[in-house]
Amino acid sequence: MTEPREERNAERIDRIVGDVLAGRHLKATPSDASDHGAIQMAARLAGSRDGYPRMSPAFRRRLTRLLQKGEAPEWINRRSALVAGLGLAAGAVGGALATELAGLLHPARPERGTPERGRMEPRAPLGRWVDTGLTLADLDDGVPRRVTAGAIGAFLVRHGEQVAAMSAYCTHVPCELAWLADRNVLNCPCHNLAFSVEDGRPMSHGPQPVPALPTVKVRVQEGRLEVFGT
Amino acid sequence: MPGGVGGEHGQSQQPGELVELPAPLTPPVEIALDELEFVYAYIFARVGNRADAEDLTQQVALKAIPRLRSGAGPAAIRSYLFATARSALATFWSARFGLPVEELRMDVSVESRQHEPTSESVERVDRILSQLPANYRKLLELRFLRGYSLKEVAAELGTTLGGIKVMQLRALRAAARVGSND
Repeated sequence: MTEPREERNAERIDRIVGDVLAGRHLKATPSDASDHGAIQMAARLAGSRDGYPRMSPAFRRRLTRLLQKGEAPEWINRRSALVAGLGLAAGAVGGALATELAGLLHPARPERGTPERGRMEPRAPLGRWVDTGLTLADLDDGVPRRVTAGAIGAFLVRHGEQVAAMSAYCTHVPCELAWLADRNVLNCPCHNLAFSVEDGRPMSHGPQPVPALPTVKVRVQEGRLEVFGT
Repeated sequence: MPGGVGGEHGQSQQPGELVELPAPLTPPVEIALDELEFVYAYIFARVGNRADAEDLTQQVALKAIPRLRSGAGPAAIRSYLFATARSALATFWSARFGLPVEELRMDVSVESRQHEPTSESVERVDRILSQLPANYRKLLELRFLRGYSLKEVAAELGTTLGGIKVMQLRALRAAARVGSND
């Protein structure tokens, strides 16, 4: 027999469970304290469902920026700062944290603008769609695959059911990039400059900012991936 | 250096002269990021959602910064990161429920790096589920491990949505009791 109170508790717990399973914050409050064991068990069960969980590339990039340069103000929240013992007011997090982090590994550099990202596309008379011989199923999610379409060299990167293409050449000097699996970056062997696999953004700067890797046009035609090349 | 390239800002560049760029990541950051991957997995296995796992991992990273600055070695960094992660998790649960840490039975043991950080956690979940009555076990497996919605679980087990919510609560409570003795 179910009592109304148990039904209310069941509703409440299911809302918490639903959030956790959807990847959202666990919203338990002190009013849930009597069921803390059940809620912690729900979190445990949810935490075991994905095998070996890994940080998302975006979150890893944010952590990298934090550790390298202290570029954190837009994602460090007040709670994190306080729990970390930095004792910073939310409004002061940016400057104070940057000061805290400055000199960690590199001297802090002034912010400079990064040139806009371009597109690599052959002129109209020469351009044509080139079959890469690959299908979406040939690509592992987030793992770049080097392809050639005539004069255009590109990396294809799958994101779920979508695929993006970007130039395979460094924007600083025209060296061909190589994918470093352990860092998940596209690396220029000439100057060790790294570009994000996600969006082609340069992940380190020299004295001059360099543009992100230009995009390359890609499409799926009858299940096969085609790149606009020559 | 001729033309002044390769280092300081504001110096002129000579055409054709190459500049030396810094390495994408320097070793201490690499070490910290690798360890933070383990920390993230460790935390995720205990909070079950990405949002909180990321928040807590960033807290750990913030705490670790002074240690990185002091030039600590990989073993010291790892040890410090996991100790910080345990503390962050304890604070997380304590704050949620308004209970002192001592009242919360938490599994915050640290697996060694040589083992998959979540394998012990998965084994523990399997162990707990195996000790539950069949209907509770099936409900929790469908809902948490196989991604069924509650409506789908209700259909699978031949009961109502309201009934399955209550059953879910009871199953979680039963699992918590088993887990507290595990």
